[in-house]
Amino acid sequence: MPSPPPGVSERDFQSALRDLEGVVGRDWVFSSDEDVLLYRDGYSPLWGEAEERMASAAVAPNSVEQVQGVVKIANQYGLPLYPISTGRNLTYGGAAPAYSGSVVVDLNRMNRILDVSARDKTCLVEPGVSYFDMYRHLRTNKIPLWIDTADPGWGGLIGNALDRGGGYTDIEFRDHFDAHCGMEIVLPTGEVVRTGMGASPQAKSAQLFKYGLGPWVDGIFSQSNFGIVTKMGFWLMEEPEAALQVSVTVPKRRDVVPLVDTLHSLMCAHTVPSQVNVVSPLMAGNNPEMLRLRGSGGASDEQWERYAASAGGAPFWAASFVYYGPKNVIAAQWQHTKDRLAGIAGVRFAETASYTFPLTDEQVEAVADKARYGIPSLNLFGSRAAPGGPPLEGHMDFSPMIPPHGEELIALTDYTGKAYADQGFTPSFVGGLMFHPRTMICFHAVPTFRNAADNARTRKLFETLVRGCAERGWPIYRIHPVFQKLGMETFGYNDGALHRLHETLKDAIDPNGIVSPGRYDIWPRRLRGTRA
Amino acid sequence: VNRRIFVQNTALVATGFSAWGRAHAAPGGAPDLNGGAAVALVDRSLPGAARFAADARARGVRTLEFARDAADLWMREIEPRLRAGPVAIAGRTSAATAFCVELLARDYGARIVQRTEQGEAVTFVISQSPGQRAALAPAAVRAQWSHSHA
Repeated sequence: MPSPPPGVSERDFQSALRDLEGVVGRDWVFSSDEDVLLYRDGYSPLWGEAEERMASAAVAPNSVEQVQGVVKIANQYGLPLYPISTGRNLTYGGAAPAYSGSVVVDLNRMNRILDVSARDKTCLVEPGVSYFDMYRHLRTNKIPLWIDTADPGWGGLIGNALDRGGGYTDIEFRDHFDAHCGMEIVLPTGEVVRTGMGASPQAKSAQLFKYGLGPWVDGIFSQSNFGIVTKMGFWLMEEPEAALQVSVTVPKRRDVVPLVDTLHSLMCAHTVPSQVNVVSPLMAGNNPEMLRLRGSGGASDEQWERYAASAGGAPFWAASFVYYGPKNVIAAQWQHTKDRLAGIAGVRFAETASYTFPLTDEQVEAVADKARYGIPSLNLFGSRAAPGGPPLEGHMDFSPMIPPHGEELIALTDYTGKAYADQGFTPSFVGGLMFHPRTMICFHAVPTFRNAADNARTRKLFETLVRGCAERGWPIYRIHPVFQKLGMETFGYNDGALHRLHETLKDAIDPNGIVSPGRYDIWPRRLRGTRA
Repeated sequence: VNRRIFVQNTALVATGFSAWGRAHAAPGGAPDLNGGAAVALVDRSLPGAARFAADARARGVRTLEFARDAADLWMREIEPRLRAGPVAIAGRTSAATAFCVELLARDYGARIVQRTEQGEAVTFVISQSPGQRAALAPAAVRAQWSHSHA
């Protein structure tokens, strides 16, 4: 049997589990080793070590009232809780708690799609609703709306939004937290709060206007531990008449500067609506010379051009994005984009896919880049280990955020390539993804293993990347629980004033410190001396 | 990613679908792993897929073919079947797909009970077992979905 939470006696723990059974039923309290292991982080960089974050039990309520009952018992016994929605965000910790010994509050059973309005293009969902669920619901009922799905699409709308995940369609929808409108939260005291217009009981605009009246507090419930979110509204995208996916390639290393500047300008002007993905085909794969140049951290443009000349003509950079809307509008947007980029010598344009909606089931299956069309997929899996490379157990995402400037992307690629090589790792493939309107996120895969020696190296690499990138002006936007303390340290302006504010809020909102202790390094007063 | 099997009682078998079929096929009919329905999930892009699919069909098992991404089949076929009641899922897929399907099926109390790797393909059986964790998404809960689509 798993150990009880720190500071809770075995007797009290068993008593608490019986009380939890009284709230949710015996079938929905999980305390056997086999069941609790389901909440283990299979990609943990601490796998099998004493510090690995493990749950003590799990409880699966299916209503707001049951969540309140769980919270009440947690306050009574001092049980740390760790709410999850679907718990499948594997590269950021999965379902494992930030604080070992926590009782996972598994909200998978709260999987009701409470409302979808085709007229208003909104939905209201519970935390267990996955992108799969919502997509299927819209498609089965022939509702001409799109979700903006995370990729892979097995996660939940609420969990991904609260962790500030991103998607691929129009800017109004692909910042998943920004696309929400109204939430319901069970506070650590057990009180239920609704935000925005939803706080006005008769409001007809709960999913239409975000702010309501008075201070807008929704943001404090993201990447935090101030309550258990039990409902959220979201805005959905109207299915367009058509879509055109395109690719723009440029031949030289420094071409990325005008490429990104121009595409960013077009995004800001709403000419390019979708997420723009900028990658280097030349730096993909495992060519030893390419990896040597990346690992050197300072290869010159001339060295890269020589390599490019020997590499069979692959373009140095490629951008891909999608237009959505009426066909004649798309044609005009695409032509304008080409006109704006035509000044880059050697630029090439390609139309890679076009669709007219709605799609048949057969057409859906044939879509290569599903997430760009609101279709959840599992395509991302299987693209992990490089052919011939060492077997990987998994990876964490390292996600620094940079300005949308090509020279920053080059500098970041140089820096991280050397950091990987210095620690004995193959440099990660890097792309700059413009999820948000004014930044790029540059995802790097940092491999994790099932042995302590390799994981020690991986943790050292991760720490190096977090600190080194922050020092260069590229802090991360999101981070695995094992590194949340480190991450918050890089947001330490004025001797950690932001962190102190977070913990001041924690003390006020969660006086007994029961909800997700340690998440994003926000610790309740009673545990501050024991923080990881 | 392809070694993540949490379930401690997973039994690895060294043989593929044929052995599975011999061990579990009901006399004169479809395989019956758990007193319920069975489906076969086949990634047609992998070696041996055609033989596996033909073998499954010959045993009367509903055979679902896809190429690389099983998400659509999960949404349209597998998850509704798991929601409706016990079902055994035999598969010949990539290790990544096997991992994904197993993780998704956990919410219905199902676990991998057989698994073997053959080059880039994995042959597996996912099934529900008595005493395992119950389903997290019973039909009664799903049935409460709203139909207000004004």
